[in-house]
Amino acid sequence: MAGVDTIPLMFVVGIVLATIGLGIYATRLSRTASDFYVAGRGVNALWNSSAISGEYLSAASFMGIAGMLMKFGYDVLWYAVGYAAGYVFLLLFIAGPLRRFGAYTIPDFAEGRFDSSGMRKLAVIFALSISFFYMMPQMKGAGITLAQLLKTPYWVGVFVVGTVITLNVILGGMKGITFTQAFQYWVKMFAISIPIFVLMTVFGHYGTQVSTGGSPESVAPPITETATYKFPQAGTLKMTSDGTIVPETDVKAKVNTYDAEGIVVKKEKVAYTGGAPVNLTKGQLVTFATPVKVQLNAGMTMPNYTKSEKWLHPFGPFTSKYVNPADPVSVKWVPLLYTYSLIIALLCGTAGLPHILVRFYTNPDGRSAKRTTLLVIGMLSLFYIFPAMWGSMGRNVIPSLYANGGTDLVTILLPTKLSSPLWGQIFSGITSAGAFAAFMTTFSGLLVSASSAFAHDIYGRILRPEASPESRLKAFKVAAAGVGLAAMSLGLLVQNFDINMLVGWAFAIGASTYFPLLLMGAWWRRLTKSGAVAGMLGGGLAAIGSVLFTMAVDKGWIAQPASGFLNTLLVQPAIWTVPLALGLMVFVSLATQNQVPADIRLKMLKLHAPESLGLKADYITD
Amino acid sequence: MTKMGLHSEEFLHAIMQKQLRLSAGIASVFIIIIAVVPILNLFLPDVMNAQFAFGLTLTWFVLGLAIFPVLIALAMVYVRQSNAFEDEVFSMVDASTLPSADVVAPDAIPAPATATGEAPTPTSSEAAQAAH
Repeated sequence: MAGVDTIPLMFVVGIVLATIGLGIYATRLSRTASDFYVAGRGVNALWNSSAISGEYLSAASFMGIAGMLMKFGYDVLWYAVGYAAGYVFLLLFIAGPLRRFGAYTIPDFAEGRFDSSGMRKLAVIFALSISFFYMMPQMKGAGITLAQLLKTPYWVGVFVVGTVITLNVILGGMKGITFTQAFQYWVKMFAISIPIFVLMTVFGHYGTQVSTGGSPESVAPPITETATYKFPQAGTLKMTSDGTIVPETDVKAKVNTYDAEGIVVKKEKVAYTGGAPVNLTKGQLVTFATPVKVQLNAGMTMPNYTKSEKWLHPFGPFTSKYVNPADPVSVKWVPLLYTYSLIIALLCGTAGLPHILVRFYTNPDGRSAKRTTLLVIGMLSLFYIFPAMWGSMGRNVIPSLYANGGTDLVTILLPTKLSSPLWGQIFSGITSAGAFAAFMTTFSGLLVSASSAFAHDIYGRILRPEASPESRLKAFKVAAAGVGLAAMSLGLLVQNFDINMLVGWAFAIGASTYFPLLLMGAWWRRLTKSGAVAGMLGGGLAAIGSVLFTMAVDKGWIAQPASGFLNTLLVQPAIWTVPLALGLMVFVSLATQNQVPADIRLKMLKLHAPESLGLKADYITD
Repeated sequence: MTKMGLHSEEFLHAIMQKQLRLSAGIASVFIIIIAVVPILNLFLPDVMNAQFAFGLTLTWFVLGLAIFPVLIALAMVYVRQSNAFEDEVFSMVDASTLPSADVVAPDAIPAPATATGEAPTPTSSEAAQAAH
């Protein structure tokens, strides 16, 4: 892997140029302001569902699930299922009413449903915070992938992807990105499926990979040749045998020693000297304080490799991370709690993502919104079968990724294990292009949704309601440039943060704020403004607070709570924050029934009566 | 069947109840399918972790492959029934209470959609802009 990989570079440049080209092409077709925001509402169902799927499949889906599954095994299948199944909730309760109401953004819905401009402001704040939290991991994905492929510094990837997409959005608006997103769904689908079929003919099919990776004989493969691995900040190394490592430079680290039951028996802080060999014993966990290159000597087995049966079976290392091994109650129930909370976050969080919800407005009516959602469920279901195939094959074919926690790159690097270096590079190029398509589509969708929150909600509705369509369009472009720059700067700050932590944050906030607002707002006519505010603030702050707490623990600022249950509830808060938000909405609404809008029956009728009755009134009239 | 006025309480109640019943029914099937998997994993590990097909364990087969066609099937059932209901609604409502194409409803900002359910015609400002 010396030097730049020319063929993957060509594929990445190709996908970036195709994105720019499609954006420019679409600009010529995009004339009016509503074209710009919502693709003129004339986008057909297949086109629109490809675009929604394209926008939704992010770095987490294309790289993250496969990498996490390789690392943790069965439990990670829930991510694939949850990401797809969230759309079933969206279809059953939200897609039709939201489209019929004629609201372009959730803030439009919030204001229209409660006759309150204050609700719009609150909804805008949550839209922006979810968008920014979700943009950061995309930036990070771009940065590390480019760093891996092209040996560029981290900031280059962030800057290249950020700039291309920001310009594309400024030039083409929603119509521009609808073309691009739809095209890129098919790029990603091709890139995740075709190469794995080729790889399966060489290395064995899905079932073989899963049963080999999970067979009792599957033990950490031995390191036969001494090699150097780069560990990031807070990178961990869990010894699977006794062995010797050699840090290349001076580095501080924490070393935990465990007994046979997995209980910590010793915690120490150490300072390693560069070049000096360190002897470690099986089961020790080293956490490096700063990024460092470490030589792993021949004779030891691959660190961080999960035990076979724990990888294959439910309630493995992912969901039992916070189990107290000494307590049988904790061992049995904490992983179950973690699993359910994760499922709730994924199911409800999907329905709370502002960049996805905005797309329902591009359907001409509620009926086509439902048809679009159905197609999206089909397209996503097809896609989400594949990441687990990559992850399980990666476990057997490229176990060296375990050594320094680099499993997120499995979709990029697995094809290079083909015996033909040329085909290896070509298929690696295809998956790299797919990964780039993933960062670019999700980032542009978030950029449009955040920029229209500024241009449409803040500028057009709050600051200058009398603004002409042309000046709103200008505001959109200015906002897009500003948001793009802000996202790039934030992206530079999160190099050391875990992608999944940031994605989880966005999902938790969405699930605890927008989902209850939309569900209750559409189906419960007694929901009042105060009830909605209480629920969104209560659920949102509880979710944000939990994740902040987890981060502080992760950084060592706060001691980790002793209880496995409490830890799980803080790391995966949806199981209590979503019911909290719903409960607050019900209680506060019942106490403030005098706030129910006078025309609530008409509002409910608009939400639920088919368009054929002629009640529809769209918010964007320009 | 007596026809209901478009703005009558009973009409709103009827359409909301019917649609909610459909959505909640399918949602409960869907939630039960999803929620039962972890329970079975916990209490019947021998069954769920037994080799099932293609070298996959039963639970891996369910979560990694089989659940996706089920999601699609549930979504198809919902869309079909929901659309059938939308067609039915038209026959429930008293036609004289519908806003007609040339009378703009007081709450509707742009012209209401045509009764055939087609995409709305461009509003005047949209048409004016397109002409630029």
